[in-house]
Amino acid sequence: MPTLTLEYEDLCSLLGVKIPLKKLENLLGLIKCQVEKTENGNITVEVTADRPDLLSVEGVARTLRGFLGRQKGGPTYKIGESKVKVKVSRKVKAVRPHIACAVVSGVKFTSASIAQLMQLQEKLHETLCRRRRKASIGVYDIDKVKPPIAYTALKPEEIAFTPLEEARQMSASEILSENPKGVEYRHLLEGLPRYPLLVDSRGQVLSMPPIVNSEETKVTLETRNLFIDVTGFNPEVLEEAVSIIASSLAERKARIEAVPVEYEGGKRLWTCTMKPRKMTVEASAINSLLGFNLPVRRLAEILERMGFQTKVKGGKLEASIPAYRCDILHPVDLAEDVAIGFNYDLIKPEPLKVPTTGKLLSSTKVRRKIRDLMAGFGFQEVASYILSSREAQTVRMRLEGGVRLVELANPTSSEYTVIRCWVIPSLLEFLSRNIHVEYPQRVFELGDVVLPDLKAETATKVECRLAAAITDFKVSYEDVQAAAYSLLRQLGFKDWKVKPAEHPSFIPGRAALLEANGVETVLLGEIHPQILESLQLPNPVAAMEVNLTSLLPEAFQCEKV
Amino acid sequence: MTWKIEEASQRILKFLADRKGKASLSEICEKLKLDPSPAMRTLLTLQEQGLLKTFEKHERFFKLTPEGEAYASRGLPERRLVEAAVRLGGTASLEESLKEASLPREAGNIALGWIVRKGWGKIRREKGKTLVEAFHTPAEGKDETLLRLMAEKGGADSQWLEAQGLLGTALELKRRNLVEEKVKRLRDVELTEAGWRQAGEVRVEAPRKPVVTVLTGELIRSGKWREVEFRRYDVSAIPPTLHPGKKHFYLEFLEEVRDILVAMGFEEVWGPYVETEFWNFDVLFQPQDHPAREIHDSYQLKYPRFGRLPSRSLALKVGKTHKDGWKTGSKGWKYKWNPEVARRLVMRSQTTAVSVRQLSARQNPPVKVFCLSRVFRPDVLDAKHSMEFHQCDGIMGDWGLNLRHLLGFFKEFCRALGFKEVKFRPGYFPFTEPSVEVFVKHPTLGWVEVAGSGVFRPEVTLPLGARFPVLAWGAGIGRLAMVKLGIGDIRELHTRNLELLREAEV
Repeated sequence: MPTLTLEYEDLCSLLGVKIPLKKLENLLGLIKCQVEKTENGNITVEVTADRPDLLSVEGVARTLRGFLGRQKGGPTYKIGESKVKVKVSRKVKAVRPHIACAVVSGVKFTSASIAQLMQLQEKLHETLCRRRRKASIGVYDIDKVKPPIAYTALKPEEIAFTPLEEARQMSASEILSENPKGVEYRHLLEGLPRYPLLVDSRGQVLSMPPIVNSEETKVTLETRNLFIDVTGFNPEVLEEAVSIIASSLAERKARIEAVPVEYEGGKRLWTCTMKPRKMTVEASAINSLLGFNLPVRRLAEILERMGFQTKVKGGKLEASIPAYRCDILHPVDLAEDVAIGFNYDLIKPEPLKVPTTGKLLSSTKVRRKIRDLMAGFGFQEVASYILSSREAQTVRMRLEGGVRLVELANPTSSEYTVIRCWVIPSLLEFLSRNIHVEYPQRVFELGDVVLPDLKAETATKVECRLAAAITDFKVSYEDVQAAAYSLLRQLGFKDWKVKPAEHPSFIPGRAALLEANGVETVLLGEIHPQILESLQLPNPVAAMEVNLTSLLPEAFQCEKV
Repeated sequence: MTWKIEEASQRILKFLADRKGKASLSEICEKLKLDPSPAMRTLLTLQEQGLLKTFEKHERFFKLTPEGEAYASRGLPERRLVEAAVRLGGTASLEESLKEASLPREAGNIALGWIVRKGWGKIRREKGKTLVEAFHTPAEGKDETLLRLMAEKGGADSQWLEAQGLLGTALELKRRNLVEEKVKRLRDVELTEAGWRQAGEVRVEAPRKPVVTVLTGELIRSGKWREVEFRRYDVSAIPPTLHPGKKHFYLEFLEEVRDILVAMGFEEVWGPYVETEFWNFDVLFQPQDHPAREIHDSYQLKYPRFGRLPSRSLALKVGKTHKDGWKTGSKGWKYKWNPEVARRLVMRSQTTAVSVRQLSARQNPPVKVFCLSRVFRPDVLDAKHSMEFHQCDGIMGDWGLNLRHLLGFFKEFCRALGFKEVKFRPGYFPFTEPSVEVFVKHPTLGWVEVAGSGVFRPEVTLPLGARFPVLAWGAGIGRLAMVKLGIGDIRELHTRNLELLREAEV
């Protein structure tokens, strides 16, 4: 979730009231801004991902004013009509087809407010704009631009301008290879025949979306009038982004002007009109979702405080949803605002009385029983990660090829790249970390493995395994055999077939497979000394692995997709 | 042997009691025939047990020098010279007397000096010759007595000498270099009151029966155990450590959570670790460009890469819901939903995937199920992050359920886990609305976030065919275990330290 820094004094002045810091921190938590820390008059909050309109101090102040009852129905921003025209060339269609723009005039920046604008732009890029892939935002000093503005796309070699914070004119390829923003975002343009470009009537470049603006049109503390553009793929998202920025600026008394955008050979439309949407919701639906029993007028009053102009129509509420509230997809989203406006601290918990009988999975019951038995046999339980590595699962275990492992595409460490296909390797790794601990060491793990099973819905299957290992100065096949036989007997098996096994992980002639229930379910033996050597295990190890899923199919039937 | 010390200590107590409670170490060793150093160890042990006290003192001890020893057996030179003179008729020259006494020439002057000093005879000089005059054998002098006694006793301590009035004599002999003085450390032993009581109960009997160490089956069967005595053990000696077979402390905590939920009427359910994005994300109304679906936030699979969509009709409904809301009343996410993306396999990143799988299979309320299992996120393992951890997810679905029931559930669940104070804050999850974050008050850590929850969105429930409200919640159970068990490092939950597991409280 995005974090945001707010100046305490700035927030209070936007609220129009000074609220003690402690109280303010609690209030912020009640409107989806969880306070992380407060330092030197700066409050760091974590804003929930659904509310990009809260990514600036102005947006937070707007919401808090309503929550405190200092403002109803949200602010009414007067939207003018700008004379600045934007013409969209047909060439952008294949690269970055849409644009939404706004002009904001009468801005009076302070160092705090300009910092908030930069922060808002950056946070929107990270979240709503999906790291500029979905949309990207540019803000310019309109007085340094000569309208009309063209949104077009040029071949890379036709592009040259001075990017923000650079001292010289650079070509598109220079920008993408040398400018920090160019390097960071070049993957969004690479391979395209043309790059998007915003140019004014004199040919002055405003920006090369989604990479970087030009130095000549940049915004400074002295800037009074702004031009904002958002380019991207989804017109709705562009409109949301431009509304959020424009409305934040309007919170500091600037005026918003909608901008006419003309698509070449197509439609002409006004962007950033900030026109609210209407949504109708039944009062009873809100009450029954929240467990409230509030009269419709009271619900309307709460919605008004939460920034929605609301009309009562019989048992229904018609809410106007401001353009910057892009989180309202469904009436349940309005219901949540009612809950927030009511105040989560005041909602009374109601005992849950659903007449059901609880029960454990049959597999959980069996797992418990087997864990008890193993502990009773004197084994210490171990809990490993089920993520492992090919090296640990096969190479080190002398299993060359033939074993297909379920493998991660984007592992974060070389130790954890596959899901384990058996559990004995986990136990051997465990023992290798404890070579100086008192012997004998008897350990077991009851855990899952995942194997490819291409016919299955998830193309994999889960098996529950029991593995046990014994190490001591002297230990042999018989030690682990005793555990295996005793376990089988305790689980109610009377007889089983024993087959000598030739398995590369075990000493030849000292490994066996036990066949109970008509399937080979237990593998046991003395671990091969080459494995001990590679793990630097100083003493012999005898180990077994039981496939519980096939040994006790009824109990584990519930663990199938 | 430890049992001997045991026996020796009883004999010492008894001995001391017979001696009115006091004796010296040397007496004890002498009378009880014990070697001094084991005896000393026994005494110190008894002292530790508060049964007796020992006092150390230093004493002067006198011992014959080799010269003294020689004189003790053959007589002092002055005596031998005087007696020679007597034998020679009362007056004899020094040479004759020395010869008669078998004394070397050098001894002459010393002997003459002492004869004069002791008044045993006279010395005259006549015609350049020294004459010794003595007419009767002198009585034994104190110095000679002492030499004799010391030769017999092998020395004498100052206390004894004083009592015999011989301390001055001893010092005189020391000056003659016939005796040397040493300092000896002595130990006196005295019974304490507890020691007296203990001694009263001691009955020392010489073992009359053969002593055996092992009670054999043969001894029992033959009845011969009656004729033997069992070697006594030092029952306070430290035994070897036993390491019981033990269940894992963290997994036991998870079992406790399962039991709590079953007691609250939840049925446990299961789901796979490898999941299609369909169940992990799409059904949960997370759009296909949602940040959680990027490689930074979920593990994708290299092999196998794709699974199957469960049914065409469900996939269609979910896809339409994403696009425009389908019949759910939502405006949807406004994009073209791609079934190929939904087929991609990921490591389950949230156990909520299990909840929705279960919900799709249970069309009739009430539904009250939970799943406690592992989830995976692309993190590098360190104290605070893990690529694999446990989550506990549950749903409660029935007609008439609402947000307040969700809060009511948490109050009860947290109380069962030992947290009395709970607070709720608005939160956000793509699949619930309203959403609630749950915090509990920890005595030292303060408010700790333990769970996320909410009411499933209609965009989640309606495509699955569930028309009733469904409350959903998920708890980071590993984090909760850390808070409950006082663990600061997440890796410790899956520790590879055997000693730690052996010592962990169960």
